[in-house]
Amino acid sequence: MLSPEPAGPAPLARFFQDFPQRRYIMFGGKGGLGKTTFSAATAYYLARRGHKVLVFSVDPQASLSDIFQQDIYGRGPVEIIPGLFAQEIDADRHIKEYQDQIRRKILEMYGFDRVPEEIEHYIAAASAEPAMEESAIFDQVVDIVVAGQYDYFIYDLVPLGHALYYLSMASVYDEWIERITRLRQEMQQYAEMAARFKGEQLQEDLILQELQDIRQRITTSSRILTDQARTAFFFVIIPEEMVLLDTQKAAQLFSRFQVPISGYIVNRVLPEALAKEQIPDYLQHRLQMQQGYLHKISDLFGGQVLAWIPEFERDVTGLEMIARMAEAMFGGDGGEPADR
Amino acid sequence: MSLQTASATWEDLVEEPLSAVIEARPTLKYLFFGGKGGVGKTVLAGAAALGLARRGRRVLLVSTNPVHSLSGLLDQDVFGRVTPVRGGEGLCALEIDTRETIERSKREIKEKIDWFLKYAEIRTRADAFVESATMNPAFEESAMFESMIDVIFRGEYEVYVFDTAPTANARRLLGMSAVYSMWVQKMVQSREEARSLRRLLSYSKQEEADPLLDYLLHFRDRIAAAKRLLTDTGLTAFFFVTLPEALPIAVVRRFISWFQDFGIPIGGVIVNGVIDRAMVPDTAPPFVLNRIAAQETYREEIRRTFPGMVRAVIPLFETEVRGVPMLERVARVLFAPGAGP
Repeated sequence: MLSPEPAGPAPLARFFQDFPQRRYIMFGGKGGLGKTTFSAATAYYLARRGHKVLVFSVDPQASLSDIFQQDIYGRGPVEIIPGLFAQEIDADRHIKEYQDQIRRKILEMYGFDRVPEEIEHYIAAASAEPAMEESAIFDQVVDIVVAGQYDYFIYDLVPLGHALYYLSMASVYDEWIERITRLRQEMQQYAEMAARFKGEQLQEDLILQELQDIRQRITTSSRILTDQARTAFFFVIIPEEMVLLDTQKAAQLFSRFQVPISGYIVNRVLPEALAKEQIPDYLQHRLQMQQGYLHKISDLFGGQVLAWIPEFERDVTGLEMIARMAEAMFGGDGGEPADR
Repeated sequence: MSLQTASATWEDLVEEPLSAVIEARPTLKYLFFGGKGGVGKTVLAGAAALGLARRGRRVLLVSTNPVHSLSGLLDQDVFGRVTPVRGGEGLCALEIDTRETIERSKREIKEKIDWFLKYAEIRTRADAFVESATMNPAFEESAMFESMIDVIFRGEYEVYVFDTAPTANARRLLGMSAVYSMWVQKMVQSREEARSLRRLLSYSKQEEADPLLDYLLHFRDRIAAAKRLLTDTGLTAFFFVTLPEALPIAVVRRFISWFQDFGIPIGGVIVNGVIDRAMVPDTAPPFVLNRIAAQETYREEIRRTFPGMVRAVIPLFETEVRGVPMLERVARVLFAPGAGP
């Protein structure tokens, strides 16, 4: 029913062979479909092929710690096996640092040791906004990416909507800086007056330098995210109706943000052979329903499907299971359901 | 791999079933369902709401999830309007539409900023600020929270069951009330200080009305009231849904500790998707038997991790749960005296 398995390496393995320049790897899709598992298994596969890989997560629900079965939360990059580094970002801690930093920057910008209270508190309030969590995390991601040091970066993205936030964050951030800069110019009079009160000079160059730096960092990272040549963005789906509907919506959004989708990975495909065995009702029904959706996936995404991953009989945790998952994704068997 | 006959059963996990919790706390009014993506939060929120309605309560089932799935679950359109659920006597459902709230917030923010800029004698226009404030992705989340409070404050129902966003959002959603009150507190303080600064800098030394301060005070009171409700053990309970698998368990463990930090009352844990051993013949393929064996090992982990907190164990049903008749079946298990499959 599905496109026949071509000879040679599995499509996903071939993708990595054909596009060695794509060093920023992301798995997107709804929550609970297996993004974290795929991130871990891909990191495992690439590390075993001799690359230096960092897989990192910014999603409090994505438990790389649980998948690798060791506590890495907030400990920076931890080497799991030779060449495979995993990192779970402790968002809360970074938010605190980030808030302090923002406040300091703003303070410097107006050249006060104490800005007018409204502004100070507006900043404090803005930092307490949930949006700050996103941008603090985004900042972390930028740090990691800008520092380089790895052959591959595998982002374990938060569920769908949030992935878009990260992408839009760059432009929001940019916008924000622009506004601040403009506001500064308008506040100039006010500032000078207050400076006269205090007998201080404004440190113009320093502030502008600071703003330029921030902007530089942002453009660097957002350029990476939307750079077709260096980024591979895979969409994770499962053969279920609701997921397919959401995915189509999401795919449109991503193209709006100019995020190139490299392909789709279909997870939780029940082995066809089960149908011939004595199986409980729930499995019978799922098998029947799955048929229709697998066809639909072939129709919708056809050649863009790079792997069909079978449902495993247990959840993927620990290196042994991760190795099996890597085999299913990249090995000779792409998890293609048996011929029909 | 051989199937070991475990010393315990799934039923043994449930020391205090949901029905006992509901009976012991008759004042319970706000029930939230959280957990990792894909564990069945919507289904269980739906079943809880239906079960309560069947017990003669007037229930509103509300989705605060940015990606709504209630309409899909109930097989009828409940987006943006409180809609009676077909076949669910005493049950209404709503998927919150944030668009209106967002527009209103934009207008309000613009007014406030305009007023403030004028007040601070800054010659710039508010539009730019409003735009960057509302462009931010958390804005919708705040709007969702606002709408949720609106629904709660209208107070037309005896019980509210919320299908929350995946827990990370839920945590922030509820944590936000703390953030808001802190923020408003700061703003109020700063307004006071601003007044004196302004008196210092202005030529006219007269007092004037301060609409911004009035607004902030109103806002603070509203948030404080919401926070009181959400942290009141008599009124609110947060239930977490997990599967017998490592990752959902780990997520619930993490979130329970976060929620405890926020002082949000935890109602307990629901275990979903358990394969009923009785329905599986011994001749079933290894794929199925191994899956059951894996679930058994997690049963023990659930017992250790959530001692005395499991309220129900829900079996994996033979078809996807959709529509009221199917929800009815889930509700029967959820509210069973022993709360097991």
